[in-house]
Amino acid sequence: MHIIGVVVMALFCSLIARLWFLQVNESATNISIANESYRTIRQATPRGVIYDSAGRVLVGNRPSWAVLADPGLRLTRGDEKTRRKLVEDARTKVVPKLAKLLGIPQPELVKRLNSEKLGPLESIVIAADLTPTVHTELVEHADQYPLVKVVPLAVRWYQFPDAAPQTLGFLGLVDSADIEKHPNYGRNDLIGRGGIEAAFESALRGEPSSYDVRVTPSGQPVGEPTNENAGRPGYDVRLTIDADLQRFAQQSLAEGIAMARSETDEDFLGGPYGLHNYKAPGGAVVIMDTTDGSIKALASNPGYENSTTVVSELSTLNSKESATPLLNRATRGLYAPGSTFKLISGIAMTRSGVRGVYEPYNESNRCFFAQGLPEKGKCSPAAAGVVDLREAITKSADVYFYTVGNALWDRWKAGDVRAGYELQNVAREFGFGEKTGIEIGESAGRVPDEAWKQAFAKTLYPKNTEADLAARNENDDWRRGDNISLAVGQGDVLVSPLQLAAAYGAFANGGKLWQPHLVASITDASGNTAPGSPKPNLRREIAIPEDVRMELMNGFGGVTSSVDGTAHLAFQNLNPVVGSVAGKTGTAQVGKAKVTGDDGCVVQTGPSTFNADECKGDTSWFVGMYAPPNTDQTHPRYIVLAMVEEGGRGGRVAAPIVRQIIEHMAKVTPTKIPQLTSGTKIKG
Amino acid sequence: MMRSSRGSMVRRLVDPSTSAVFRFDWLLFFAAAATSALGLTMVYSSTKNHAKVSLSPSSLAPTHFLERQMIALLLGMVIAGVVMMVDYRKLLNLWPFAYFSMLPLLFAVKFVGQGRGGTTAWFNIGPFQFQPSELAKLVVIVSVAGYCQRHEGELDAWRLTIALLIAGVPMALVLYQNDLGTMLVIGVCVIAVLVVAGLKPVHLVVLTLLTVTLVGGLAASGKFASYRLERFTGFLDQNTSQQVAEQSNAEYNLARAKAAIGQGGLRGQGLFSGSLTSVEGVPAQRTDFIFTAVGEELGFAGGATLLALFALMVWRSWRTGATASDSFGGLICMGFVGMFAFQVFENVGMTMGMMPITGIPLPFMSYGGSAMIAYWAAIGLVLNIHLRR
Repeated sequence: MHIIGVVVMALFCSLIARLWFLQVNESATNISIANESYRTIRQATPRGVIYDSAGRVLVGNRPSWAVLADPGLRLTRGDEKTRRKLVEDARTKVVPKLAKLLGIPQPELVKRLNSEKLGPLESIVIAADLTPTVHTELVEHADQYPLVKVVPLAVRWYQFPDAAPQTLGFLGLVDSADIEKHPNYGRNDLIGRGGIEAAFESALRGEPSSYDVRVTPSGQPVGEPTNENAGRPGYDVRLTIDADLQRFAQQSLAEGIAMARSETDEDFLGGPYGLHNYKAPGGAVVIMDTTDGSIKALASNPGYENSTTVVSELSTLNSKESATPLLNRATRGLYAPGSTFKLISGIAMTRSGVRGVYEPYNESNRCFFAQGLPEKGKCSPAAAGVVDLREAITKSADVYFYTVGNALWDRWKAGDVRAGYELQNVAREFGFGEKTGIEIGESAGRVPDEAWKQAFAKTLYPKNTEADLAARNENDDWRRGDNISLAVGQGDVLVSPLQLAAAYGAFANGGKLWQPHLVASITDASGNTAPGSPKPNLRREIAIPEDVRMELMNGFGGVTSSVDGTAHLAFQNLNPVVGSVAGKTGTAQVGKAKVTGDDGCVVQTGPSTFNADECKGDTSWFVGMYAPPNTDQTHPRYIVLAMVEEGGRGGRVAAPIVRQIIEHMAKVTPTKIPQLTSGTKIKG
Repeated sequence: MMRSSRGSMVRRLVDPSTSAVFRFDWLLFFAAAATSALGLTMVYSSTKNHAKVSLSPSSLAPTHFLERQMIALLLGMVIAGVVMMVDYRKLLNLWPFAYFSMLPLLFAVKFVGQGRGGTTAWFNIGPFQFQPSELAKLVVIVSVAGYCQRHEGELDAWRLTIALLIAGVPMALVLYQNDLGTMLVIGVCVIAVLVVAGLKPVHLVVLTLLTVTLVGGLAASGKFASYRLERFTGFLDQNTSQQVAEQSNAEYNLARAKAAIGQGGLRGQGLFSGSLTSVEGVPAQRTDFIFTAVGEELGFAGGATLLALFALMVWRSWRTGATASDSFGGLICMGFVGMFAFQVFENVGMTMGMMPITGIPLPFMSYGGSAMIAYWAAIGLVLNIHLRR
């Protein structure tokens, strides 16, 4: 018994001695250990709000909850010996349970936990925007989900889920590439993907608040935060888009497309392949203010609902089967402009002196034959008779413009490259073949000439074999037919709906080519203009002689108001209080698999085994120039453009969409898109 | 012997040699109460900023942990009072009941209990948790003491084996909960009881060899969780490298603990104002590492005083055991001496790098209700034995 007493007292003495050494003798050397391993904790500040032009919230924020997985839960790699039992237990028990709760397949969850090259201490968000049920379960039974935390995470809120999804974009979690590009982003930060959210990422995001905190090697924070930085809330972005007009435009476009799908593609009428409806897989609408290039509406069909879960549906939204709803057809889609290109051809014609403004041309044949063209030449659905520039525009006379392309090609062939490329020059002046400079992603399009053809032939036949060289040699010439096609917006020319709207905008306002823009202003939390707030940008002034402009404008006016006009039927009985609408139809042939038309002009013979799915219908265009009442009728204020892919004639499908929208803008009851009898002929 | 019970009561209260007031061990009670008061103070000091420094959203009041610990202390003192009233000798017949009702609890907790830091040892009872292994320490000491008392002076190899079995089953169950520390404490207490009960030196040697082989075998077989090995080796390799982030958690725990204690100096940084411990700068600070708060805020003066209080408690328990009226009381007291002394030495030792890091609380100091109640029950029992010398 005394042995125990002695042992115990000895132990106590050794403790006191050790305490003395540690505190009184050694204290200086130990204190330095206290300064170590800090981690910077960032907390996102509220993301900026996106407003429409009337101050309505398009994209706001709402609080939500996310599941944060502690490092331990995803620790599957690493040395077997150093793996902690605690973590193993938790992982084997928690992961299956969590997978079930969140509705994520277990392999997927494990993949998500391990998908990023995270540091050993970093937590990762595995599910955002929890439903109330899941949130309640995780919070109430927190003890059953060790290594899992429920953290607040603000997510986007959409007042109009249907409005302008491709333009607004969405948010997703950052990936490795984002982190490399933006070192100040945390692993669990959201970042803008596409549209305005991506284009104005830094303004909208603001600066996260941050502080440093000491951490244990397992990442457990200890001690008080230091080095605190309050950060800055994101700037608000106000768009030029009007939510009401935008939604109406989307609805009109959808109606127009539905109408097109119920109609028989007239290219099949009288042909040997039976009847097929227009496929009309998509379309676009652009509404632009010609005074400064601001975009009032930008619609792309098919669309999708704005939501916080878009990011998980990307593969569907990008698939061909669902007609790529993610693609913004208004800015990224490229199409042959068809007859809408005659604006360019008309100006090139007068500028090069091929034909005068008032000079009559007798269009007696539907087909145009020139030396070097295939035997049957270039044909138009109808001959227009004797026309000048105004009438050629109104009636969309093809041969009138074929001859322009033909004459210019002759000059080019004769060595006058400058004048011979007048079509290309004017097209480029109006902004074709280059990006418009709009804030969101867009395509540059293509203005074809000899250099392009050569480069293109080289990509088609890249090898230096004899066969390739021969094929390249045969295909890289700038031929007569190429320039004739270009004059009517066919062949190899490609434009985006936005480019076409911008070009017509420059014509409508007298020659000012504005940079189309979506953002009106960027403001900070107190409403002051923030740095980087944009101003309208004039790209260039285009000289258009007044007589040319007036005759073209009269021609465009006739398109809707003259009985000869190609959009006459679509705009008949327009309520006078709407104001005046001028415009141009376009019906652009697409692709190579054209079937034999019923008009006797064989464009190209179809393949021997015909497949209707490979045969693409015509692109339907209408570019409206709208002058509201009591405004300058010669300088229309708005461009309202509609395009329907494989939708048929411009005057029949696209023009009624534009009419509806314009009536809506004028606060007149919109006219229902007319259902025309199949086979009714309207030239376009 | 025909005194009425009433007359006996009166005489016992008045006669200095028999009065409960005079027979009550005031020193032991004072030492335990003073340590508990200091414990509450340090728990408050360690947790008052919890809501502020904890990263997960927490709305706990600064006094949240203090309040819970106070409830435990009051409950513990009441239980100590009850334990003190009933003659401990009745336990000679009662210990098998206590023993066999404890075993299922220890077993069940692994399956329905709550886990924490690798150990599954807690039952949820409303807002509180109950840790049966704390109670097990007392029950095992009393049981082994009871068994040894019955076979006093005849502790041959066969009976020793039975005594070891009585201790071994709950020890194995505690180890099964991954609570190595508590298992060690029980082991030390049992050895203390056995030594006093007349363990032969040969048996002691055999027992020691057996233990070493067993632990070595476990470690070699890899069944021993690696974090435990790290904790054990952490105190062998105490460099003062700056790259603490690369150190394992065990070394880190130790580095932080030593830093906090070292900062205390002679008089400490002042109550409630330790630069590390007032902001939870040491892992597991309100529980196993509470001594770092004493060391940092109250310095050598405070730390030495606390150790002196523990020494006082151990001395009083030892003295009670040495003068107990029967060997049962003596054995129980020695078991408690072993328990208190070993826990204090191991716990304070680990914070200073003298002992490996295991999850053993510092009696009356560490945050934790079950332990507080169990220690007060133990004090009650020693007071009981002291009263009935």
